[in-house]
Amino acid sequence: MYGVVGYLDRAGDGYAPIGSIALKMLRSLSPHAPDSTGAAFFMPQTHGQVLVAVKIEGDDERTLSGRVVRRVGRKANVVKSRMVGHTLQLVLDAVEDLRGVVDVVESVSEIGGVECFSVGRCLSIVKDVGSIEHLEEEYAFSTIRGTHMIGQARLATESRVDMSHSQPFWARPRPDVAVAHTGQVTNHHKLRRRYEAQGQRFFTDNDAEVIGTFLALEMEQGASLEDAMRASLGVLDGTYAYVAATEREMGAAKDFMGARPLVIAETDDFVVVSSEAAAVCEGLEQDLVTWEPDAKEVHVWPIRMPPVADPFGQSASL
Amino acid sequence: MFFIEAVDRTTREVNQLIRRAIEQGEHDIHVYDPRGRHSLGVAFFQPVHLIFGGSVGFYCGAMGDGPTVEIQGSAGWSTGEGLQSGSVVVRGHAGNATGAAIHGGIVCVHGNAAARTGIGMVGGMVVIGGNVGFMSGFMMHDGDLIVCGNASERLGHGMKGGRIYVAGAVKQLGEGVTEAELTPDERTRVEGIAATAGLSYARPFRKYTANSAGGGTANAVDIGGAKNSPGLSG
Repeated sequence: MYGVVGYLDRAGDGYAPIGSIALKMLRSLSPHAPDSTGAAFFMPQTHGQVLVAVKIEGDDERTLSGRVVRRVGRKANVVKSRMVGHTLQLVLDAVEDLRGVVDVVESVSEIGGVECFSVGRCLSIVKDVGSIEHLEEEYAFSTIRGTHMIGQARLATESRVDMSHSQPFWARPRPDVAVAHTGQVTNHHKLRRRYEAQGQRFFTDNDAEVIGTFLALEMEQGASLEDAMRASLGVLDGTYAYVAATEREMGAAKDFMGARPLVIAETDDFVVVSSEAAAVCEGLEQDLVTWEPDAKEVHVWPIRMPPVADPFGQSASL
Repeated sequence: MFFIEAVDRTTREVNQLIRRAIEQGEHDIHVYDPRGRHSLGVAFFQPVHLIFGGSVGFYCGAMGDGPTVEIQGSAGWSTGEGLQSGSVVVRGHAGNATGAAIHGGIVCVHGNAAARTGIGMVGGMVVIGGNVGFMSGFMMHDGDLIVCGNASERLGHGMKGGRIYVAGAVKQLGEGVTEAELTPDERTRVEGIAATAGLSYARPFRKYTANSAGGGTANAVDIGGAKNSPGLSG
């Protein structure tokens, strides 16, 4: 648990300073959440290219990342690859089978230390152990621009502290969906066993990973993000609040008792959510009037501008 | 009027500056730009006027005995919790457990308040201009919870005493709660309180109290947790 954040731009051209807003919001939560920090950034599509973030952790990260790039190269055209912190960020072209790419990346995971953190045409997840200051140093958070983001600062209560257990989680296996939560989902072991029997793969025993899988599977069946989030409240037991996002929208939900804090501030220019009003005010550097949704409430906000091709290559900063 | 700029100060520094100002005989203290800090203005026992010129975090004005606190933005959880006397007024919205376990005084919110508003009240008044959330008035012992808007599910769940007045719709009453007759004198009193607080309401107030059996046994009641869907149960 500790704090979640979310920001969706409604005014701009798709290149809002979501990185620096995430930095300021997470910094405000970080004194209480020293264990790990992360954010899922959504950027406008670039010529249908695919973004893949891969955790590379081990004694020889260079060899591991090289192996991943070579294997992915057989399935898709690797436009760009670079190591940032302990994450290999790939930009792929001419991808026909997104899931095939994930399988190829994770076939390397047999030797350990490799895991897809995110896959999608808009989504890129950046997360690591340590505080937001550490992340900013290693990953240059604040330079990222895009349409919306969700993030989390973590104080571990339910599972161990490492890179993989950091949040947000990619809603495996669906591209461009991410989730982060605060609180506890108490029946996640039971759900996890059920999903594993159906062939789903889990990399952690963090309860938020199961929220992601639930949303992804509902959406694979044709549910909207909002429908999937509403359905989740009847299945996920415990006390929690969570934020989730797809390439087109951002949502926030509260458990059946409203037992975890979550506040919202909404203007014509943006929607901002967080567990704490302080993160909302500090993130936007202004005093905003926030309100708290009731138990069982689900809110979803669409981005105003659909992701479009980017002729100027502004998102190439990935 | 004494002014404190909160923006580059910690909660502790702001509270210490308030304390020092009170010791120096200031009666009107204005804290600018609180930016959602928690625990501002907690446990002050002097009849001073504290103004927070923006949104505050959790526990603002909690455990007060005497001060009149005004929050010009919105407030987080447990605003005015455990108040003994004095008042806490929120111009914006408030979070969960607003006015929790107060013994006296008034907690007033002009906007909406969230879940468990007035939980465990022992006395005093919680007055809400907008709506209240899930399980408001939960385990009330005494005092008045006045809601000008609507109430969500399980209003007054397991209440043992006290009075809840709601002008809008009540989605669902909690266990052991019943509607009671509102006498003309009582109506005048409640409407007077709302008017004094500067709040309006669209419909006449209705009154809810613990039923004659003395209220439900809250612990024994199924409060409707998440049920596994058929496809996932077992």
